[in-house]
Amino acid sequence: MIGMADLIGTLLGIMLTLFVFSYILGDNVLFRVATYLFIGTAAGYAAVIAWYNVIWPQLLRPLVFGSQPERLFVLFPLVLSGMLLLKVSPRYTRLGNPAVAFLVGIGVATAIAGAVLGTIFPQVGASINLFDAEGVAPGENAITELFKGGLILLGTLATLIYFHFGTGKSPANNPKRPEWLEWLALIGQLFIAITFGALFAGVFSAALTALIERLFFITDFLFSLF
Amino acid sequence: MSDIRCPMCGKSNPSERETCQYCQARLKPLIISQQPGEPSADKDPLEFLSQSTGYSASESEDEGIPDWLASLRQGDQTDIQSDEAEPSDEEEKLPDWMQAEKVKTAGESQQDEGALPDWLTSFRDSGTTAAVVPPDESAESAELPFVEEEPEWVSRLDETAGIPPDQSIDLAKPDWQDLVEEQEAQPETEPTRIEGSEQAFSIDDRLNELAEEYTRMQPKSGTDSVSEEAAAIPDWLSAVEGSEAEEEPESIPDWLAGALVSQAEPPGIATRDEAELPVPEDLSAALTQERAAEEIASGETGEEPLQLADLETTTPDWLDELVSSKPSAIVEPEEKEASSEIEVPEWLTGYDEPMALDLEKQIPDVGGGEESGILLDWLEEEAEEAPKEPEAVSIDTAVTSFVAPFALDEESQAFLESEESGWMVESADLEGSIEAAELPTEIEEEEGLSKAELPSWLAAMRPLETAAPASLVAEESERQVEGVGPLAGLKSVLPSEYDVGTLKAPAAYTVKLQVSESQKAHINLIDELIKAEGEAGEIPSRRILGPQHLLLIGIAVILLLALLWPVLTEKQTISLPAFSDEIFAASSQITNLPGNAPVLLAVDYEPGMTGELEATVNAVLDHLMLKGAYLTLVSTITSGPAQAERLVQEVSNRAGHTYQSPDQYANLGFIPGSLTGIRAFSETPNRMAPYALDGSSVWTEGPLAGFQSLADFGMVIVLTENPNTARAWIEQAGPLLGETPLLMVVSAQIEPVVRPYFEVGSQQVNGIVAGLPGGAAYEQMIGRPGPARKYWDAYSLGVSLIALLIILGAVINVTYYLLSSRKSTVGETKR
Repeated sequence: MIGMADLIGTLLGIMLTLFVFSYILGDNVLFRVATYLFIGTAAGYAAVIAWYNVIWPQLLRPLVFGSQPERLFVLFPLVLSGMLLLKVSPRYTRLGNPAVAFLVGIGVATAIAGAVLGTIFPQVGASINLFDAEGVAPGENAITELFKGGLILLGTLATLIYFHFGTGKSPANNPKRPEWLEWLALIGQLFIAITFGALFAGVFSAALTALIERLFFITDFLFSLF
Repeated sequence: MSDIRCPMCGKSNPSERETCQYCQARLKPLIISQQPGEPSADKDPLEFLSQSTGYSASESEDEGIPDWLASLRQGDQTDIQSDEAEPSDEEEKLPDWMQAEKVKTAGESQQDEGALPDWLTSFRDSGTTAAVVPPDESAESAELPFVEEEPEWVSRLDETAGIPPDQSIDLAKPDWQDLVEEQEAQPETEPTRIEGSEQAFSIDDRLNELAEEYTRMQPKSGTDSVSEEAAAIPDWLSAVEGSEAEEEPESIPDWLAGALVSQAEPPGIATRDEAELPVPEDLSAALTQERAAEEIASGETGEEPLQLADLETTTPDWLDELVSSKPSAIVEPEEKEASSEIEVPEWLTGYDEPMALDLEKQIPDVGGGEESGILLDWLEEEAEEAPKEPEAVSIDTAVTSFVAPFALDEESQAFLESEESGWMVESADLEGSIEAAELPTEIEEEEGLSKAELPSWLAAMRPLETAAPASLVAEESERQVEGVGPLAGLKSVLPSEYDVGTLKAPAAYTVKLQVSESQKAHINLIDELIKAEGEAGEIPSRRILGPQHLLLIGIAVILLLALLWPVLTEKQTISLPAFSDEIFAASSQITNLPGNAPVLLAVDYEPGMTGELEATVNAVLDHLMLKGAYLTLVSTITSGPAQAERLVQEVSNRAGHTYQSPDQYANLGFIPGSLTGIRAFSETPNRMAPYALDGSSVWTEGPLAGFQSLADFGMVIVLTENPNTARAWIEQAGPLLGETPLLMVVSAQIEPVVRPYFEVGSQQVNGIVAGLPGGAAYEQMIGRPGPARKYWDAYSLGVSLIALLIILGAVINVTYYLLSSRKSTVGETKR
């Protein structure tokens, strides 16, 4: 048994799904209705979540019902929040610059630290360890691992070389990279192409899965009616 | 009634008017009064004769008047005073100049024929005394030293003349004398009265002599009357000698009448019926003298000299003939020729006296005969010169400014224009005008007139050659004599109607920009481009069912059929894929979880990827639920909490689990701040999410009580389709997890991004389940089919179809490229 709410919800879902499928015929009003409806709903829900999940419990409730230390602790984000709101006014926009600077500074620091400590160092170490024969896991062939390491190294360097466009002075005033560099760039271009292909396959897989799910949703509903 | 011509605008006005009815200029010249700047419009023109100038030597010094002139004036003044004190019997009120003339006449034995008689010289002295004065000082020098009061004959002359000059002369103007000259030069239809004419006739003896001489000079016609009149002292002259009060009209000698006539009609002035000739007192004498000389010389030009036709007094015939035959000084410019050499007239030689000359010395003490001889000499000379052609005499504008505004004879004009006359201008501070003036013309020697020899004293005074005007006025301007206006009678005056006759249409210089044809073409082209820029271009109509569109629809249909086939047939024939290492590792991690272990589940995927991720994570969640794990749901996106809630319910319902909040799971909601929020939550989760969505405090009670960090959790599973989110969790939360495994359930599109983190030696990610294949493999591993199995057949067919289409498209494109390249090669070969 399907409840009324579920029925209505399902019907709306099917209707909106068909609206989105209508894009195959080109941009049309049905597709726009579906997209606008989705954007509006998402924005409304986001506003509600921001209030009930952030502002009220983390800013206002401690300020109103909290203890003195909690209030003092909340005072600083309260002031920064007020200054950030002044960015809306062209006249007082400069007053929100400190808050923006605080946010940007914290975010950049966090991102850089995480990238360096969480990605660069481990990945570089892992790439180096590929050439460590002692680091080969049991049951794995060292040569295979070595070849794999070499290939990874080649792909990494070739990809970086591909994005290097600096050249030296040429007497003929025709700047051009050296030929060996051009070959490496070509290999890098090959690796890049393979990567983009893999990414495209994944995107296609995801989209196909979403399509399949929608199709099954519709068919299940229709089958459920009968 | 004759009209008066306005000197300013040149229009005719009634004779009774004193100011012009058009321009309000004075028609009747003002007589210079003794006081400077004191106009006397109603004053008798010859009143100056009866006025004393009151001129002093100090004034002359201040004004720059030559000493000789100053001395003359002083002498005149003295004479006047002496005359006043001791009136003689016959010459009771003789002006000094007349007395001086007597003296001078006797002393001028050195003068050749044509020399100016003393009386005339003195007359001219008195008149020149006023003439040499600068125009701006004319007011100050208006006082004649030798005229104390107006003689009666002068007043009678005014009456008999009747018609004053018709053109008022503004004495304030610097060249009023020239104007007067012009007035005199004009032919007169009616007799006019000349100022200062009475002055010449105050010496009875002198006049008698003159008359006699002239009588002898003149032809027979009219001589009788002339001789009779010349022999007798005119009554008017007697009256002048007698008293000033006598107002009886006296007869004017004919020769004087003729001179008056010539003076009355200067060229350029139409009529002078009633206008008074504003000749200053000091110039009237010279005016009269020069008029007389002009009359004599005017016979050659053929112009009518000034005439006083309406005078009651009769003029001697000899004088009339002389006047009629002599050309006027100011005549047609075309008839005159410029003369290169300037000869000083004999009659004027005595005019140039040294500065220290005393007037008394100048006046020779001669008898009547000598005077008459001297007087008649110049008359004879004039008569001899009569048949000669008129000479082109250019009037020195500056010099003429010294001279009274009456007609000058040729000699006088020549003298004025000569170099010797430069001293006159210098003394009057008019050198500049001299420079601009034309060179004096050479006066040809007329019949009966010979060049005068300069006396030694005059030669000594003669200025340097360089002082003479050097610049030659253009011949054209020489010929042009101003006829009207205040500059009447002057030469070298820029006519107001300059080049009227020579005016031509100005060159038509177009102001338009000259644009060539090519430039026009470029302009049009640019203009069209600019216009086209603002216009909306026509969008080519798009065909609804174009080839590309048909291909798209065809592919879509095939794909849909392939996908719907398993759905419609409800067949699951395609086997599930084998699980990979990352999937196995994930499964192992979950299997190794203790029972009721708290697992943090971060639901950070967008709603659009719900279909794939729910199919992927379904098996994992099912496995966790089978393990009895306490699920703690969080999300870094706003829609995450809702999706997380739905996910748990769907999996629980599909798999037959009864997971309820807050017993089996807790939804902590949204974590703000993205990277920093993840970091902060990883460090202090109870502070970042103190309460669940239902308001319960999970950190104080329940499975999460006492948790301080993520390391307290049994496992962290991140569900996302965003590579950045996945990386953020790995980078921010991974270092703080410690031994807590981190699993990534991701979309197939970010598996290449997450996999390195799994394959790194440190294994920042302990397991990966990516996409539908991963979910399907996980389901196969745990042996619990789910949506992944349901979708797998369709997924497999769809992937196979797409792969086939990609391959087919690649083959077609390569074939087309090869064929096209071959055709181009063949085409180039054929060429």
